[in-house]
Amino acid sequence: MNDWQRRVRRYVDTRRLDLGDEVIEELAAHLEDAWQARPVGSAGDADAFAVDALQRADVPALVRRRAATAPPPVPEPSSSSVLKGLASEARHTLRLLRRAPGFTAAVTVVLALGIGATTAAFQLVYSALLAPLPYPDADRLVMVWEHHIARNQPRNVLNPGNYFAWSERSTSLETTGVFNVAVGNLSGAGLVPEEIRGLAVEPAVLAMAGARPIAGRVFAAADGAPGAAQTLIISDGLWQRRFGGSADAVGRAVVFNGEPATIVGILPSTFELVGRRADFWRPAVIPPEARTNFRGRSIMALAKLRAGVSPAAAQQELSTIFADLVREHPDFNTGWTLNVVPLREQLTSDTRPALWVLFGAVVAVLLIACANVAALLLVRATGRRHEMAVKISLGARPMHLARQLFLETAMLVGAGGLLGAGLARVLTRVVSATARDAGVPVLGDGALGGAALAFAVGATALTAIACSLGPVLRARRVSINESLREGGRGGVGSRQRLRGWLVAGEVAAAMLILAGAALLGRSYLALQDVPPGFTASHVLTARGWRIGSEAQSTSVTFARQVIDRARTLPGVTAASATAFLPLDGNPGIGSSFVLADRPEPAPGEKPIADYRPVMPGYFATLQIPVREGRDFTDADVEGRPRVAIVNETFVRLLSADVSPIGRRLADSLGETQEIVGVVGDVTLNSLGGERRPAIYLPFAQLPIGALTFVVRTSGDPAVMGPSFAAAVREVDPNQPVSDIRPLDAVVAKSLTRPRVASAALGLFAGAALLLAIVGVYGVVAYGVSQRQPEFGVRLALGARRQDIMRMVVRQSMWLVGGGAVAGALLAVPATRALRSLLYGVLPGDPLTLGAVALLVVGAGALASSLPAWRGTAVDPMSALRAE
Amino acid sequence: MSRPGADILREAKKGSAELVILALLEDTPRHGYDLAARIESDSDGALAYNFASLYATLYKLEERGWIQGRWVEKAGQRRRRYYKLTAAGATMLGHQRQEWKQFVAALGRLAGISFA
Repeated sequence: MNDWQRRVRRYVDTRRLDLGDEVIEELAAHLEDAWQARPVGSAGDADAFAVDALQRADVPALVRRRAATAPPPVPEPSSSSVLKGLASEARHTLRLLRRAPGFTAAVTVVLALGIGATTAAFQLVYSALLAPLPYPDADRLVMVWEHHIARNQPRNVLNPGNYFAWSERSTSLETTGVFNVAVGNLSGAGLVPEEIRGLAVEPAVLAMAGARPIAGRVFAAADGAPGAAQTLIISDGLWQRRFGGSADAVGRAVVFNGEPATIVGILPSTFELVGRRADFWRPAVIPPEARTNFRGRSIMALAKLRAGVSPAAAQQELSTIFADLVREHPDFNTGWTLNVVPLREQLTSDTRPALWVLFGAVVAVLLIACANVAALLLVRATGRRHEMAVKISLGARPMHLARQLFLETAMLVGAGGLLGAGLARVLTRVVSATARDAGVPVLGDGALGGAALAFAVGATALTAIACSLGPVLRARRVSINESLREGGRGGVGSRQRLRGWLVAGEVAAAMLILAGAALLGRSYLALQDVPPGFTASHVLTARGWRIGSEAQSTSVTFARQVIDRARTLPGVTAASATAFLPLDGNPGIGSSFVLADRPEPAPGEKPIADYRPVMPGYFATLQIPVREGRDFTDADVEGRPRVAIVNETFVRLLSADVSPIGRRLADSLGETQEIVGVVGDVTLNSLGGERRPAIYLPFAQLPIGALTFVVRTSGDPAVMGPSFAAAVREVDPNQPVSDIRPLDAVVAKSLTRPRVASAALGLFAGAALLLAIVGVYGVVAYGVSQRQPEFGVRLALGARRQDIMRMVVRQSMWLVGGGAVAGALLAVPATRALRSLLYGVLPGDPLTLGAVALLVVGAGALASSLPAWRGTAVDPMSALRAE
Repeated sequence: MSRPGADILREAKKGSAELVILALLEDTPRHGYDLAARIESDSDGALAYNFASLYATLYKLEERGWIQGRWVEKAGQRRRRYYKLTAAGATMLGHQRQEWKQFVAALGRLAGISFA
């Protein structure tokens, strides 16, 4: 019994009050605390203080209470009280969280970013790769291509003669239909002439795609009959834009490619055929002579497998049928076969690797965010060990505490998940639009679908469990004595080690994503540096495609007149035109050819070249060097000897570097040309693509293709647009002019996909690095705060602040370095997934990995030194005293 | 000795003791002296219970099962009795808060007292 208990006992004994021992002990403790809480310097006598306090208190009102050996009866929880209990626990938790606004905000924001980004990425991956295709019996739909085996061209367009043969002979295909990309000039009915993009389709194709018009009808067989009146289906978008959504658009007469046409139906703008959206659909008219056309490949075909037939079985059958066609037409078909591609694969094979890489990166970022949050929660749990221990000693069961901790984590994560879902809604719209620009076939309009929402909920739940695992497991093993005696100070040792592992993992994940981003970035830079072979600056381009037979026959005159007029515009130094502008996405014409003075190669082994009809002055306008011979002139027209100009690759591959001037070429249609010039190589299709032989022909001798004007000016080409359009209108007011833009913009747009890919991954890499740095900072800061006494001792023993700081940083660099090495090792196999997206750099490139590792290690060192510096600002004496 | 109206306040203070104690125990367990000190400081001295009646109230609440007391010994200190709020107590706290709110609102309407 201590003094205070003696004082209280003396008081109650003299008044014969019956208080139990424990009550006395409790009152004594209270009095002692009150005594010690008196203002400093107060005089007084403890005995008198005790008596005075006890007299003023109503002690007789204290009844002797039962010795509390058993816990008081807890009322049986009814279901409503269980719910109420949970609700009050939830409110309690909310209050706790509100008291730590910084912590709560930080955790919620980090989680919102992680869950939001992952959900958006999932939506993209889902809609591009996993969502059911919006066609009836979509898993029976296939594209059929001709496949040139030696040239490794598995998706070549089809030859009409071959198509009719195999489609009629096949028993594994229920339906087939032909379609092709088409362009049209829409005018009439008071409309300004406009070039619109669309598709020519057989009615069967629209039927297979389940096209449902929102007004009017789809095509019937009669629409495609030769000689039938021209009918058109337009898109909802075109309907709104050009017809104001008026109800009488269906049935309206318009002028299409110079011919009268009738609009018979309107399809939703979201209707896609094999990943292509269109402004219009017109019937594909197949003339009877197509059946015997075994020259040239130009069409595409969609087919539906018979029920129960697998794509592999159809592939086998069609390969056998085509082998017969090779025997029947050996000149044309040798070296070819057919390739059956299920529609899903057709739409996704290009983009699948990139999308999964992106998804992987985003998930990695979410995991890093989880690791950070888990570490934060661990620290918080550590700080509350004392509170936990008290609660346990007061009767709380560890399970109850664990439940409370889980509830806290769940509420944080739930808030993060809700915010994240909201963020994802915004992100998906942005991402979908960007992805579509980059050529990713995103289905739908980018709204957050049910699957993505379910994913968000799942991700949130898993995150909650993952993040609370640490603190909950620790709570169940809290040692009461240890915690209470320490007064709530957390231990170094195993918990700190766990945090260390978490951070090392974060660093490794950040390293991995950074490596990918760096490789993509290098690819993009390398692509930008690829010389296109022409000078893109100061050139305006504009397409004036003459469509419709009437229009086409006047193409050459039209082109010449426009070029003459363009040359008179102020600032113009040169003007010309080409049928296919380099790098604008149109693959142009590819054809096989032979050199007339060489033995004819075996069928199927003829070389292929890109054919490009151009007007005179084209090379000078684009500053493509003429290496040998001459450019085309106005004398190279129809009826005069046919000529051609070839590129350097042609000379290197086919002329053994001997000048080809004067030699003769024969193309696949049997026309021959004399080579009159050699020009520098130009990247025709893509900056990263292989250089192929190119054969330029005078447009006047082959007036086909998407006629595009190129105008070089001394000033800014963009401002010339209106005056050029006016010049075209002066020549032909019914000719639409479209895509008026500087050549620089065309080149830049051709790099959209690599640019978007590297930007997207770079964004995630930045986020991952930031999170990892925050993790490193947190671990070091926390460790340093726990080691203050140790530092005090070291400083007292003569260590300098820099020495301690260096020690701390060195120790943390083990973590960072280990993480960086692990990440680099993982990056070598992982970056192989990017192979198809890389240019000029290999996956696992050591220079890139090394640079990224340096960046990560440097960032880690910085993140460690700051808290190390702060934390070692210790006054040795106070640090020792605290011990 | 009393100012006019002091009797009312005395009765009101007595009635509020339970609510105050339950509320203070909501966030964390406390011992008796801690409770007394918090009550006085958080109310800026407006509420102060003599310590015997404080303990009487504590024991009453414990018998009702709304709070639970346990002895806790810390290193280097004498042991103290900590009280924590039970689930039933939390429920009761909610009820009492509700009732006090209604009571105060009714007072306001009847006696013309308004709160900023």
